[in-house]
Amino acid sequence: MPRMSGDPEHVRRLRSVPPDTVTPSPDELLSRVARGEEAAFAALYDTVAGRVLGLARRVLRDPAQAEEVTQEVMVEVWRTAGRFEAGRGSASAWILTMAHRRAVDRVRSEQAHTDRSRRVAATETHVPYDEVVEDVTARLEREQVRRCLGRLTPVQREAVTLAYYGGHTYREVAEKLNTPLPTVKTRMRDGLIRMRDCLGIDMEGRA
Amino acid sequence: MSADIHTLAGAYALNAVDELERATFERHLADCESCRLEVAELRETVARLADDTVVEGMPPALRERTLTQVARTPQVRTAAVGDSGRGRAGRWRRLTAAAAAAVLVAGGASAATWAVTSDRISDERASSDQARQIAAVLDAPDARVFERSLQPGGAATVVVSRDRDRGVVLLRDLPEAGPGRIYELWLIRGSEPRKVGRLAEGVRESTMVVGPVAQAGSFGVSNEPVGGSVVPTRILGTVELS
Repeated sequence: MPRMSGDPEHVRRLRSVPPDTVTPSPDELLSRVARGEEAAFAALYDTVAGRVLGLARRVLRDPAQAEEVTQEVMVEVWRTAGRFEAGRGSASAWILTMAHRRAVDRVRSEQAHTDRSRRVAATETHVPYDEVVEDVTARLEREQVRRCLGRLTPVQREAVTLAYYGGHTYREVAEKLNTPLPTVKTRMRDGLIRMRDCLGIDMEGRA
Repeated sequence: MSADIHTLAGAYALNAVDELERATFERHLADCESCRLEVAELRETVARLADDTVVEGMPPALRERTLTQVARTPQVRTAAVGDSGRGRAGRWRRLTAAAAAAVLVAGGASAATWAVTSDRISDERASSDQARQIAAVLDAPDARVFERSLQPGGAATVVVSRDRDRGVVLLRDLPEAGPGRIYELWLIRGSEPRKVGRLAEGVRESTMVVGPVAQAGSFGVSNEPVGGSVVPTRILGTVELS
């Protein structure tokens, strides 16, 4: 169990961080969380939970469920922080991948609870997919991400955003767009590769 | 790397695959370093898409609840470095068990269909039954995993439950069978092979249930003419089931 007080090293470390300095990176915070530091967890929460909740809301379209997912995910981050391997990616990506999966699992299992015909009907009365895409394009807050998403071809962008923000499998995307499966797979991969290059993400040698 | 399965990298990074595909793809990743790098980079890329969704003005009650729960939640102790092969098998079993469970939850439609599309079985009911059978094997307390690479390519994973008297076979990355040829699956007892399945022409990966396995000592895959053979002729490999 974490020791919060009575740990001189811990206290010294906290005090040694002057106010108004740059917030530690999520990676640094997560490694401290792995050592059981609750204060680091609180800081990590403040750094990433806005995106976790935002993503869950976007996928689930249900504020209450999105909060549940956020709480679940953040507690899971605390519980399993020791399993995070820095060589394999960033702490943010680790957390957001987990958040996306939880949100999407809920969407998919909810769909499973309704019978097939109802599910199809529900899908058809869902928010039109164009709107999802437009919404995304219109509201991109981060300049770089917006710019880089903008560099995808329209069909690549459509496939990527339907999958990520819509929580759809590539099979569902293919059905919706009436496009062959291999084409959709290719659009997703090529689109992400183009975005990766635009964002300058290069992990070779990270491990 | 197998070009076929690797085209899933984008969909996988987007979490746009079903549980069985995820499990299969992760097996593929385990054997392919360049693929792991690509997927890691695509994951970072995908995570950036969440930048757009950031919520300003987070609900304070949510923070409160989360921190309270964290304060009473013990952390998982990190597993020792250097997992044995058995550990990997355990992980695989958990993965696939979760996969099969998810297939059940999903009610069979797309996820379960995937398990058998490579066998060109389109009947939804059949695929749903198959998903149930897969889950029954993977969830069995006595389930054991056996793996083996095949020659000249591909790999076979067999999960066997003696209690259920069934096995789940996962074949992936098989080479082209060649014109007019297919793959056939066998359970071998002593020196007696018994045919337990076949892949349709052109199919190079599959997940299927085989059995009964009670007496079987090994599982084998062979390359045969389209009409099938009475005994295996060109054997790609056998997997010892003990």
